Amino acid sequence: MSVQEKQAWFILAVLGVTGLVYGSLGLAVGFHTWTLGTLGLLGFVGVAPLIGLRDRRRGKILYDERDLSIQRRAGNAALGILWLAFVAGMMAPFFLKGPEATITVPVTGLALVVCGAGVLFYAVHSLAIVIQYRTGRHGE
Amino acid sequence: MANEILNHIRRLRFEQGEMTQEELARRAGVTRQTIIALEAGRYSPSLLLAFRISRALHAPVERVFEHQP
Repeated sequence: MSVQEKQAWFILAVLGVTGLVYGSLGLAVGFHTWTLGTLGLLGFVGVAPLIGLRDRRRGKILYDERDLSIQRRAGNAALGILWLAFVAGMMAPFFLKGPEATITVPVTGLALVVCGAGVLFYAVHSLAIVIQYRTGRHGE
Repeated sequence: MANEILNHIRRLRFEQGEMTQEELARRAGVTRQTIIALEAGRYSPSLLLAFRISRALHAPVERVFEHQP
């Protein structure tokens, strides 16, 4: 398994565990503002770049043309999905409330939207990487 | 999508004194996973990589790779 694939699986695991903990806690005690603290587990995504550090220090080749091609396609997929979510998020209030309406957005709601965008990007990006490695890509 | 470019990397690798995938990857400047994907037919290399692999296997590129329409 390549370093990039390991990193993608790690990120998917962090997202999955975070969702599981948040959902379980919320179902157990209710979805309060303080239960959002479990989303701090998403910070472990920052550990992903450390995967393969030992091999990098040994001078091994970690990324070649195939890895970069897969990464580029995964980035395009993630940006595409994020753009769709962005447009949908922008247009939804117009259709739901009308162009002249005023909406009060709670602080936690705003934070969840931003967090959700990041989660969506990382999830699609990592999933696209894993799928390409598993199914095979035939170059450019 | 069927892979139209076939390769004989595995056979030529063994003809070169049973060269390992790791050794071929090192000589060609790629990861071992890419060599595995090439041999499994799950990846078609760029022209540059095709030439590098051919040089590492001491064989002309048309002997290593063939196009099957």
